Amino acid sequence: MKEVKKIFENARAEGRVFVLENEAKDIMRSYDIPIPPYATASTADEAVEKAKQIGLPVVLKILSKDILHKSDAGGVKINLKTEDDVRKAFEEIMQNAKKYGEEKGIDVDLSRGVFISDFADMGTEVIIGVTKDPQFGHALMFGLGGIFVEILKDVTFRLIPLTENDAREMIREIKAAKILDGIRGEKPRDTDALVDIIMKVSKMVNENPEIIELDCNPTFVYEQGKGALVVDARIIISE
Amino acid sequence: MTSNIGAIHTEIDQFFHPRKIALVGASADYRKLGNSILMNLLASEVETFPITKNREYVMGIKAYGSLSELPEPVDLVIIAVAAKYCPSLMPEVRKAGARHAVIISGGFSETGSNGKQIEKDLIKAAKQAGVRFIGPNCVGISNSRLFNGTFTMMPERGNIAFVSQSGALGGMTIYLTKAKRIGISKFASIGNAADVSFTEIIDYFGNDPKSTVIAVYVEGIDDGRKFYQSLREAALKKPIVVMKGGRSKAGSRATLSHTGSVAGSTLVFNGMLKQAGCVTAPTFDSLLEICKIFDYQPLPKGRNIGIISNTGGAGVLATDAADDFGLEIPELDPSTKKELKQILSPIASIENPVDVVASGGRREYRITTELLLKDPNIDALLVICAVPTFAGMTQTEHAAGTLEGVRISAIGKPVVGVWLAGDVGKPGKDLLEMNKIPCYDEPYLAMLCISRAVEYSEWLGEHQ
Repeated sequence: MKEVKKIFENARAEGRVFVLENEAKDIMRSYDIPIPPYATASTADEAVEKAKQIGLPVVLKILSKDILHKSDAGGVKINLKTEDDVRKAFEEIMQNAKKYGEEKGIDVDLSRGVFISDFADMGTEVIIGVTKDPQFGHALMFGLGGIFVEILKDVTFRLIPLTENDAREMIREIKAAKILDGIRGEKPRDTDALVDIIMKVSKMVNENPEIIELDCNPTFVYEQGKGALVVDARIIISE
Repeated sequence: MTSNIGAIHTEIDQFFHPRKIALVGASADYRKLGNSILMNLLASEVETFPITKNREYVMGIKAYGSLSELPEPVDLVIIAVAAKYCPSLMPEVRKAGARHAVIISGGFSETGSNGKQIEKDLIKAAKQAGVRFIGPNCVGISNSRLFNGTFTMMPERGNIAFVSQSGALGGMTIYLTKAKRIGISKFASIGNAADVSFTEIIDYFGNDPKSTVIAVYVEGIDDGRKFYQSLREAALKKPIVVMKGGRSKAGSRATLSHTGSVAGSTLVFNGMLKQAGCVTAPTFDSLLEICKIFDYQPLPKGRNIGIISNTGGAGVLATDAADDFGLEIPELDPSTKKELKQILSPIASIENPVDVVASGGRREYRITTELLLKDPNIDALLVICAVPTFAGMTQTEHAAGTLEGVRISAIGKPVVGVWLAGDVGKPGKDLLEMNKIPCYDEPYLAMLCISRAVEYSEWLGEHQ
């Protein structure tokens, strides 16, 4: 918890209401939420070194207090399979970020370099999120990712803190629940792992009410017994 | 804590059990609310003291010029005079012996800044005087066993406690109770809820031994968390059926996350209701109908529904509806099928949904009802009568057969009817409802009601 508070303090000191991706992952890790192995690197050489430690292929993302929407700034490169790929990706991300800054007229801080993460195996995509409702306070959302959340709005909410029953109900309740049971000959997905993540996110927000929005998106869930991974986490805190 | 809850219960209870009521703004003019309320009070089991400046007698009983002129203390004051007079009435209410007031008058915060100020003054005056009040801007309250302190009619007497934020809709619902044969235990229209809150009423209804179900009509609330806690507490004791008016969007706050952009207060509200163990009514009509199944029938143990019909088509419609609500229409036990084969017509269908065909009458309904209720695969039974008269049958014989089957089976599984054919089916429908079997005009509505009973039963099972 102390570690988490410190991350929030740092963010506020830099005038940020969002935490950086490595910080978000640090917070996830401190709550024992499963995430792919990750590291940060401020030079291309370091990036290659860390990528080898994590194991290729990897993902590189810009790490800057000035960039929240990383893809818009050309700051995301995925499925990097070789050392060369990593080196090239690092240079490109830095150039893109600089260009993005020039276009926006801001001096983008590049000193933090990049965030490196294992390129997780594709699983069934779900989203676990948190919002702070004006009437009810913190509420947790669950749904399937992609079009299910964006177009069909097939999501369900519960107020935080949740009970395990609430978490299980949420997973059963969405219209697309059958997809998690396994379709077209697939094995059922590891819903226990999802319940576990939901409960941990609920605990995290309950203990850190300054979080006003949170997305674990995408979260990949694998077949029964093989768990789930929060691939990307975004945390917004109050000012 | 316990004594505190007890104290609050007693405090709200006194609103619903007055012996002597003063009505400020009593009127002999039938075009005024003060007249409707007076008529209702005079038809109640309470002593009424009309307060009016203009007359010595109203509707034949002695009236008084002000609360201070009352010959004896009262325990509830109902107020129906202009908003601006209300704040200054509060000390008078207390001096007249009452700690409770119901303020029917409108013209408060619902009308703008001036009214807002009057409401503030009213709250302050009531607090200083030590008076709790319901309203303002409401229809009033009633206790069907004792008195009608509203300007709408006295509802049918029964077991459903009803709290409504909207005055007019609440009043309208009361009129529906007669037509729908639904009984109300207590009714509270809380209007602006400037003092007594939604949550206090829900807490009270939750603990009220005379109420078996709570119906709620809500539009918006201030303290969402407290509302949630109250609902959840009460839902552990009895079912709560909620209808929400107004689909509010999330606040204007710009959102940076995906979750924030999807979240609307309606989605969060619905999730909150599920978490609290409440069931929702999608339409006004269904609000009371869902309450009816809770009030009349035991809770189902599962979601497996048996269907009896005398036409295949109605069984198909009911099966479709069951599917829409996530209910199951399971296979019947082989022994049930074997017995059905022996007693039903050779052209009947002995598979669920069972079709006894149009020639199936009292005997077929009796035996099929009994067998399906006894079947271990069935948790709840829907009996449909689509063809009430066929080849000399009486209009009520299907209903009579159903009732006999229910009685013989002596099993605590819920039974719901659907009687089609409009007025021709009505005598059978009436017979069922008089015997506490909810009977609907539509398989869809019946399945909706069953699904809510299943939902609550499952929630209760997980939380008790």
